[in-house]
Amino acid sequence: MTSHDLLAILPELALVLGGGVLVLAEVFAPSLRRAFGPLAALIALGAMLLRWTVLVDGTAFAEALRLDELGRFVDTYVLVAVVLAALVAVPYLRRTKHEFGEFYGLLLWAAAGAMVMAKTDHFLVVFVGLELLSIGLYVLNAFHRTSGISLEAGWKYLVVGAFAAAILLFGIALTYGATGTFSLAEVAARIANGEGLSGSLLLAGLALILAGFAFKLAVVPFHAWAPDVYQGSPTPVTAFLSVVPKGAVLVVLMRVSAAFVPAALTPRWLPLLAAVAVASMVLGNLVAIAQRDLKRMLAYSGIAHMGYALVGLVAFGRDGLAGILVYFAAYTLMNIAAFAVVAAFSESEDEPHLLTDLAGQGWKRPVLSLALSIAMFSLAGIPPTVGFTAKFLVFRAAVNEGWVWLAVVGVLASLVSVFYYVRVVFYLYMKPLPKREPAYSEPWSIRLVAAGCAAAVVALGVLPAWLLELAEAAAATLVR
Amino acid sequence: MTYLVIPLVKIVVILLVLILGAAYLTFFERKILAYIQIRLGPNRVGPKGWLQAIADALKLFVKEDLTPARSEKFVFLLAPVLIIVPALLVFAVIPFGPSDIWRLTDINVALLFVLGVSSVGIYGIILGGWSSNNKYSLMGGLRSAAQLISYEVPMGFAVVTVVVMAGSLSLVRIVEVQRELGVWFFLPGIVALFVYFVCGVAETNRNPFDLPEAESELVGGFHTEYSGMKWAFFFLGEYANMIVISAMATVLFFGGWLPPFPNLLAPLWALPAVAWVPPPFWFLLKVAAFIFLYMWFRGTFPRYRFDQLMRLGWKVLLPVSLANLMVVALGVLILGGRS
Amino acid sequence: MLDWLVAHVVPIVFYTAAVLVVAGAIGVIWFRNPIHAALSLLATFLAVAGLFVLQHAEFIAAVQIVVYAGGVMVLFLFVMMLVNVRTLPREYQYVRSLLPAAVVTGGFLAAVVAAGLFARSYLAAADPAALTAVEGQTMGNTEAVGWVLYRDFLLPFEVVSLVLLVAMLGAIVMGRKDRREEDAGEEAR
Repeated sequence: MTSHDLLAILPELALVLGGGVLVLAEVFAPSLRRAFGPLAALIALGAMLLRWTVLVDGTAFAEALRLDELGRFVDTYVLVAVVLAALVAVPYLRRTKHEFGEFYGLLLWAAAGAMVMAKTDHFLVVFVGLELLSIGLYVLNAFHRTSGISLEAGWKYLVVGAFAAAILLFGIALTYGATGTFSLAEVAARIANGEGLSGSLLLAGLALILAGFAFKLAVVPFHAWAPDVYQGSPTPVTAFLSVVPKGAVLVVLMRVSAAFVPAALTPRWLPLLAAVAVASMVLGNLVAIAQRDLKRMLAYSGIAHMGYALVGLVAFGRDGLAGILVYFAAYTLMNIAAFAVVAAFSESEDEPHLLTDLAGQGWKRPVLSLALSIAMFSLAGIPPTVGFTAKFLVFRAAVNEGWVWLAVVGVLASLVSVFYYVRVVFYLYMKPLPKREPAYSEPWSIRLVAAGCAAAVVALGVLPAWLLELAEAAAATLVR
Repeated sequence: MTYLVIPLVKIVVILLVLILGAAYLTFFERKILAYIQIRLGPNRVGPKGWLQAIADALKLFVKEDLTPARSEKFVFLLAPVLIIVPALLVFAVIPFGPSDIWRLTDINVALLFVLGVSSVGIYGIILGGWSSNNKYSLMGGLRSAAQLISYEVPMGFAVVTVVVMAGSLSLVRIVEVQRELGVWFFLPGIVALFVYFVCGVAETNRNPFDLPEAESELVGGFHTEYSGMKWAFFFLGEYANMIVISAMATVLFFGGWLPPFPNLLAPLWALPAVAWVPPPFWFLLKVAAFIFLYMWFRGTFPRYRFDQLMRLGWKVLLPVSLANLMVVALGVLILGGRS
Repeated sequence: MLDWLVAHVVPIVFYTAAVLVVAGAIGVIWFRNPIHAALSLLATFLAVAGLFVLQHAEFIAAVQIVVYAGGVMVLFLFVMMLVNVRTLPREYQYVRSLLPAAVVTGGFLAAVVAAGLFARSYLAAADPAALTAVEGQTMGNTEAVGWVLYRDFLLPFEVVSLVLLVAMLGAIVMGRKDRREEDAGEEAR
């Protein structure tokens, strides 16, 4: 290990050490509990600052880490999600009397796992990073220990996650058997040379890797866990869970595709991805219509959105990958805005977050309602929001690469989705307040997060050039 | 055929010496305890009681061997075997002297072999306790499982300290390094020695860590239901394990077969008057000293309570051994470590 | 006879250990008594360690015994004995629905194994010298493992240590007493 290696993982180190400090503070300075959430957000911000000031390029840790624009982009987005989730968690944990330093420690450590995953060029690191992320999330899901549905969420995510990890590991083992290396760059080189390549073994390995990742992405047919886990988990955790693992996994999938696809595998790999994308878009959007619980609805919406993102992966190319990256940024902002408001608009965490709970809140609580409405419009892909930009980029890339039918299915699916997203807005503004008015609190941190995210959604929707440039620079590291 | 016969003869000799030694250790233990408690000890069988161990062995041979009706017959039978076999297996790699005659084999991962084999020894106790279908036995077995797992960790770190200093996992090489350096590892590794021996006493379920068979609480602990030869196996296993721990302490910390001050007093050891003393003499002398320590403990210390035992293991010995490992590793690094 | 045995000791040990591995694995799901199943698994662990030794991976063999046989299985037994389940009840109702799943999974596994065996001809055989080589020099297997672990695989190694920390902390968070939750509640008030 050299100082170069240490500099390369400085932000991760900051997160890990910061998480440790928070966990220890829980023991030695419990009187500081109120400051834990903002502290965690500060640590994440510090890590982000380090990521963008200490610029290290090339590889580190015996080529296990690849430091490039892509990694930097994803790190930023993971850290933004951490900041937002930590801020949303403050009032939530206080209300449920679970205000412990361990929550933030686990959050930061899980984020470190996602960041390691996003930058790696090595299957083993992918696996251990994913485990770090997942094990942290298993606990965070069940963190609200006195609530049955939270425990259920933790349990289900644990069982499914362990299963997915086993499948992923099996796929990695087969790929190693076929190519004799864990390094993606090496795999790409060997496939390009056609040496040591056993078609059936490599395909089986690749299929298993895709299946393992599909569990984490919650795309059809590996989506069944998502609604229950989304519904049961503490809402800040749901917000984190709905964006960070998916982003990290998608980046790994991008890197895997970049390594594998240029070979003869393309005709088998792309139709598979396309089928998964179509199934996710259609099923996610159709089933979301039937949901009465906001968190479950957002879970199905998440399934559909990962379908859209996969369209970008099918299109591949620089445009497709840039589209996916913009999609990440958009999805993070709008999803966390939605979950932040959902966290505020509920009286008890044990009960379902029903759509009817929103009735009439539009005029009563203007900031949160407006933020939720903007998030919904953006999720539906209505301009001038960043959600529209993202969808436009992804579908355009698909059309340019000749996947017209895929783009058409995507557009149709998002037309369907407009119904249930706008229904939320309808409940907010067009329904009367119920007779027994619900007592929602409106903490400052949630207002800050919701308003900030909504503002960013609109701002980036109107002026997407800056984000697009960053995304294209990041995508250029994989595709020339 | 010689390549088979010689090791076989060695094995037979080692086993005989061990079993006889273990039998006589009981005699010595009773004698030593007696002197500590200012009484005579066994003195009726043979001159000064010297045949007592043989008489005890004969008694165990002819004793009725009971198997509880509702026990797990197969596991009940397996447990004594599981305790005695690992204890004996360890001697395959212990070097009693510098040349090949004095040892069965020298493998380059001997230390790992010892750690691995002795970690399997737990099963004898825990399965014996379980298969007896007796609450006292089960409690004894569970206690010992917790105790052995807990103390194996700091013990492993203490051993690793020696590995760091010696730069090898071969027991022969570890002794050789001690001769080359001119210092036995108990000096730089005094903390490791302490941790090792305390853990070793705990691993062998000896006083003051003999909770698994605390007779005032658990009747006989895990071997309550055992009798006759099977019980003798447990007994033999305990003493064989004591010898193992002592022999390993000798090899790791006290220069194995080396005579005292092997370099300074080299001319003295080369004198014809002492040169005929075979190296195993020194080895066995050091082992005997450790075994005496065991017996001294038994005559002196009261027994730990279970929570005290766990606290000592996890909150004292483990951090101490870890810190010691780091200090020693740093020292090796600074003093231009061996590789 | 004796000379033949000595000359063929490697295949003899290999096949003995291989049979033990498979028999132990079958025993794990065959025995109704969980302790017997655990012992069966122990036999598998030990036999796998034997296979590692045959492959000159002594360090891995030792780790296999110290960690799995000496640590993990003992804790398994510990828990089982505390729960004190003598035999598992027979559950017929699920068996029928499991059958198709078992057939499909088994078939898939068989196909993958077949693919692996078939693919062997494509790959150069693994180099056994790599198990003991450190920068071109032949040393011990332990040295080679240490060299690779702390150089090429340093990052995954460190991340794994963090994974274990998170898992431990998670277990503590899930298992801690409620007293502290009440304390937290009082402070919040």
